[in-house]
Amino acid sequence: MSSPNEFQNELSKLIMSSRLVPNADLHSFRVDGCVPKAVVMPVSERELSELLAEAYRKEWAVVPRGSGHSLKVGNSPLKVDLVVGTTGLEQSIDYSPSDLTVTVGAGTRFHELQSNLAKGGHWLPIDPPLGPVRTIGGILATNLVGPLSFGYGTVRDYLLGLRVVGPDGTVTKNGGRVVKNVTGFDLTKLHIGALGTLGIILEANLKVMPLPKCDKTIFVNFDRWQTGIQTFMLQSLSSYNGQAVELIVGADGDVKGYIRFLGSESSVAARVEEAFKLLTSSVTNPPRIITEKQAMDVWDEIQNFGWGDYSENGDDVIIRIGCSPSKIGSVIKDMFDYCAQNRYPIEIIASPARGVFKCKLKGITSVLTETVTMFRKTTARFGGYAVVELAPVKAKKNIDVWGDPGLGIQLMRRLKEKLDPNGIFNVGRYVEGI
Amino acid sequence: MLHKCKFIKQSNICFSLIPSQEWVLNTHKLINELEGIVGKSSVIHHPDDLLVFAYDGLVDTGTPQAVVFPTSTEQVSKVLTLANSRNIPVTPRGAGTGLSGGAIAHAGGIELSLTRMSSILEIDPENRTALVEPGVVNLDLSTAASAHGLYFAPDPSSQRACTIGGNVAENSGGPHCLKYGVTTNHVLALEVVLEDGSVLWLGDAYRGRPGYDLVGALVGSEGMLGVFTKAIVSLLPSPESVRTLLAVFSDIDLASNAVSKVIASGLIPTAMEMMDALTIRAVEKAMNFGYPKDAGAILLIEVDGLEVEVIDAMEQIIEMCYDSGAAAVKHASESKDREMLWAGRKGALGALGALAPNYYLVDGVVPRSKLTDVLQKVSEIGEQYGLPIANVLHAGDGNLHPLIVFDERQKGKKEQAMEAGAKIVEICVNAGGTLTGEHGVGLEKKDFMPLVFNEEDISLMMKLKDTFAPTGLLNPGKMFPDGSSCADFRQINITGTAGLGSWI
Repeated sequence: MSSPNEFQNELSKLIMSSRLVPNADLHSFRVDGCVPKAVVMPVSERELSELLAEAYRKEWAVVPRGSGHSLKVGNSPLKVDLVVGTTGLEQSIDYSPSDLTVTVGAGTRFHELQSNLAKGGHWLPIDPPLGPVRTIGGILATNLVGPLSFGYGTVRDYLLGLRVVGPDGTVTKNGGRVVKNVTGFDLTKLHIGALGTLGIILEANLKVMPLPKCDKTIFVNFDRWQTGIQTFMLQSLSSYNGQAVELIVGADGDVKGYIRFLGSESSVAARVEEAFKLLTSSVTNPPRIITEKQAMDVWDEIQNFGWGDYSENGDDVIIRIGCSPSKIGSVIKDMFDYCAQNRYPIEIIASPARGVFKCKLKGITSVLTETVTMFRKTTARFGGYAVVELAPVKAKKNIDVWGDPGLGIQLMRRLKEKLDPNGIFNVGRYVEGI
Repeated sequence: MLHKCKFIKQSNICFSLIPSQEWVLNTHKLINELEGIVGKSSVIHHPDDLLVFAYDGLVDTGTPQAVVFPTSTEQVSKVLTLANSRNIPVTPRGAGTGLSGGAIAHAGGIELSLTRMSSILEIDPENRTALVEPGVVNLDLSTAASAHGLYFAPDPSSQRACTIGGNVAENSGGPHCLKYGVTTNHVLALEVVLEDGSVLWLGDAYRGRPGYDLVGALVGSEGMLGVFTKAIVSLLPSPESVRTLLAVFSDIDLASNAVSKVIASGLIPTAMEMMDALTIRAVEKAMNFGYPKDAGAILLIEVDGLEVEVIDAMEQIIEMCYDSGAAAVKHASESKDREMLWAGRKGALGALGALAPNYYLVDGVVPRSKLTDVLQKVSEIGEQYGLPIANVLHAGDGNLHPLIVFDERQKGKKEQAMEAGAKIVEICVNAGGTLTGEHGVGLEKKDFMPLVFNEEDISLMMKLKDTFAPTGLLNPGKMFPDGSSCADFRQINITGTAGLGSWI
């Protein structure tokens, strides 16, 4: 497969030209700077399936694509022949309010799903970065989570069934559309966060939740980040906790804390009252309830931390660190100490009770390898992990963005070999180069 | 009715049990070796002693050559290494309360009982997790965690006996999973011994590390992918307040309407359980609760949370029950009174046992809104076969448990009961549901798998099996229809005979 032209010639025998993105636009479909030889937007599952069967035979490197927003996740691909989009597929939303379930096409934008569900008084209580504009398939495949995961869990807790197309074009289903199901092995979980390396998600069955009637956010300023972590850990462990509990520590050391309460009027009122008691006794600045507009802005900011202003030629690096909640204070301290010693400006958002925080580092791309190595050493001491969630393309070349996937790596490799034997999906983008 | 799976898997790894049969001839040697690993007192092999291990909660039986009771991961690993080197099937077993035959040594061989690995190794209140061995009894974990104001959410009805290892293997549910999910939502990490004896930890004490969610694939794998020797599970804070309501209706439709109303109102109770007229009469006869004789359905609804939330929700639910035509509503907040309300539901299975010597408990699941239709069809099947069918169901999540009552001593009744059960499962599938909501496929429903999954779907599951356990020695003959792997399990000499002893 020498030139894009020959490649496209071959493709044109397979698929109608209207499904192909014009050559002039290929550049805007690049994956970490890799311009694909072709971009196809199939309109039916059959087209997609036939295309993949051919790709499998010819061992073309395929990158599945939803809205394209999270193509910057993962290692830079070793090879990209074909980008295959899911947004051209016919999308349907089959929502059954009385069953609290919905079946949705993978290429459906999340905001469309949410507005559909809202009509029946429901929602899917997840808030991944850039959530609204991304597709369901992309959200499942990347499993990036937002602040609400503290109270509501992640998309893993809502996924009931999947239809997936494998590398050779075979369409399979797993799970079902009922909220309790133990019929056969659960393969659905394997696709969550797998970055499309085991198959392209076509359709998902999800459990939905009632929309909360009331939504309030408390803001509190802390003098020190340590007080913030301690207080929020305590708050999170109380039965009167919120559904999202986040701290923002600015590069200037300013510590802002936000707790979001969702539920019925009486429940929110009771929990807010308790939170006020707890916070008032542990901080000097009195906490206050912020306006709906302020709350919306601040939760957007937290949800999209690092994503909203990302540029592949920019300078920001976002590192996500996870560990047991009780260790989070110690890990953050080491990160701050390291950055202070080296005079790296660092900004973080932390959710102590979720056991996760994200760091935004500026001006470190030339020393990214050392920084990441040091972060990983520290987190490993506390049993945690460090993932480079976002980094400029140039800086990614020399690092493995994922870090240690744990002891299961051999089984993961074996699984990948079984499910994608020719290794056509997302070559090299996943953990340990899978 | 059933389409047998005719596909042959393309695999060069074959289960070479049949040709050799070497281990059967060398039972004596095998037992010596097993005793060398776990000690003489931890191996059972006398035929009389083995009898009880031929059963779980299903009708089928299978007698192992030996039952082994390891006390450490190392011993489990050695047993599996030995079994692997001799091509001996191994069936992991917890308390044996499973209802689909998951713990039956269908192919003989070694039954690996994990009940002596029953330590709660750590409860970490700050991170709300527990590190446990697989033989820990479900309720014991919640009892131990209660000292920290925590509990383990999955609560299968057998929770006084069943083990965490078994819960993980079967992805157990329970009445309260409507709000808190099933076992898979609460398992964070597993120490697993693979069929070759290798030991590894998968997952962490928290979620989020990158990599395939292998723990997610192991939960519910019915002992076919590996043996769990430790688990880290998450614990939930005990709710500040719990309230339970019992509402009596003149028929199932009215009770179902009440359930629909509650769901539509945006409340998520922790449990919504229903009993039909036959069950109510049996319970009343056995326990004398004073249920009205003409009651057609009883609904039990439980809500938990903060005191304010619970009071608020209960008020609404009471109103919705009356609006839907409830004849009587009782509710309770004190734990002793709540237990009284639950007693009938919890004792239902035992009470139904008084109606006839045997029963077949079917597990099916449908979209919740189809429940009324499906129950109607279930009752038609009962009429068609002349078999009483009682219904106890998790109405909130569409999980029904028709219980077919019969007397095995009457010729042909057992076969009729099994046939009626099969029809019910088909009805569930046709209504958009599936084969099993919480009991598992095991032996019971393996031939039904093609009702839900086609060849490609099953072949993908087999690939997961090949990833973890290519030889097929771990819990062979379960979950997949005969012929869906290179080993044709029908050829295996099944040593037990169905019908021994009585059904639970």
